[in-house]
Amino acid sequence: MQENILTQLDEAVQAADKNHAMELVTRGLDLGMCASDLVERACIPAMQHLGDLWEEGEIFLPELMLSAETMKAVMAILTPKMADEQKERSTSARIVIGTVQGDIHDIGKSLVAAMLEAAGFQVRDLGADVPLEKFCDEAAAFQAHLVCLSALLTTTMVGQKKVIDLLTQRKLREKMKVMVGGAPVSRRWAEEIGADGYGENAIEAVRVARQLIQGK
Amino acid sequence: MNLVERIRVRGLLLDGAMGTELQRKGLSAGTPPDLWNLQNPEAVKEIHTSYIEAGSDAISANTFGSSPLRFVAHKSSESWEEITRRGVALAKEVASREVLVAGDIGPSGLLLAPMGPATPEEVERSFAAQAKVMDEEGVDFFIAETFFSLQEILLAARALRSVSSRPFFLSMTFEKRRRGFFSIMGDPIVAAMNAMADTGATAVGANCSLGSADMIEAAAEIRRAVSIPVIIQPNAGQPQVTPEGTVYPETPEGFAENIRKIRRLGVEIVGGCCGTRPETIAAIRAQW
Repeated sequence: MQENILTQLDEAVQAADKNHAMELVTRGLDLGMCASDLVERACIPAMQHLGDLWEEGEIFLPELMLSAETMKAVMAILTPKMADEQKERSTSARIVIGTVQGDIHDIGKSLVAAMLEAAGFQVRDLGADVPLEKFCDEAAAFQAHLVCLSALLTTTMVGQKKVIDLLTQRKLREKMKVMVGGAPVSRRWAEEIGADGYGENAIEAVRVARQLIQGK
Repeated sequence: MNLVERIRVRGLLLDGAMGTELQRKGLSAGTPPDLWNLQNPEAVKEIHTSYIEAGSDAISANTFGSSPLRFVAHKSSESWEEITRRGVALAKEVASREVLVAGDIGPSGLLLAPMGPATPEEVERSFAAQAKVMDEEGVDFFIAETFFSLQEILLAARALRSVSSRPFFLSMTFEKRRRGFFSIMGDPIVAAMNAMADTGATAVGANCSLGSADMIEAAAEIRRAVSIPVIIQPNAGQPQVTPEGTVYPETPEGFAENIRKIRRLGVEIVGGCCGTRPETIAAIRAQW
């Protein structure tokens, strides 16, 4: 019965069947299943499978976004339960994300934010065109483990470097990791400006975020 | 000779990039390029003129981002309408009688429901408002380009038809995936072309994202898919950020050589997207 619920939940997340997924989670919890089991043995594998399909070019932005929405709904039920279970999970880490000043592109950043949230992180999305100082203020106030900086324009990418420099100046840099992304951003750029990680796409961003936070 | 006959008989050479050229002239990070229609009109005119001198048959007004919905995201106090109007006027000021002026329309920047906040009605209204202004200013035709959603470009086509009887070109942007070319929303290239052709567009095709080499393959698929004229505008390769700034790696000669291959497939309308320059257009003209 419990295996059955895990399989069905995995399928429901992949199919972005939000109501069914929420129903399954509720039923699983009623049967005495652990919230963390539901996350680790159904939700995370589902998102990883979607990630593989994305990288192979089998699915596209709509499928990914709708599944991420489903995951968010499911996680809203499961996250408080996991806290009750007193399991110290790396995925409860805090993340601040936004598109840097001068850049109004919101879509890619919002997808990454949704995927991170779906993966169980606490995400504070600052939106687009975020003043560089604000990243530092919010990261400090939120006691973020990770700061994610998006830029879609070659002209605004330099804002990513400025935020990193500002974090250093304000002695926040050693307390948090920084990940960068966006269409023109490359691994080389990330290294050059002293970021800790780089996500080529939303799927990789989640993987890298996990590595960075667990590595802390 | 009307536009369609001209395209069929002689082909049509469009211009190259506007945004990356404005940046070379000092447009700062995050300033919407369209804003320079008011703040630095001389720079916009110089770029238009350099494309005309390089041999463009038609130039695109600097209006890609000045639709009401997209412009509001910039929180600028300037009016999208004034920017759009001036954008067309600047292009017309420098275009001689032989050079055509296109009203350029980019995507709204919003995702349509259920993925995002935008309703089809408001997106269509936004395009219609912008197109109406450009129609009043007397553009010769419209180009809706760089759309990554078939649904959205079809709304743009409807909007265009509702406010103007002028010809329009529709151009989407595609990525090369394992199973072929798709938009990031998952629209397959051939299906997208057929749907766009059904709107009554004068030409359909692809621009941006792909460099000129990858675009040859995409152009071949598009050419096979539709019988109406095809429009192709590749990027000058993928942007690379270097300590000296952003560089688009393709040379004008390499780009022009690939455009020649694209034209030999039977593609009638060509030009350049991000990173292309007046030199690029001149190199294409040299072997026309």
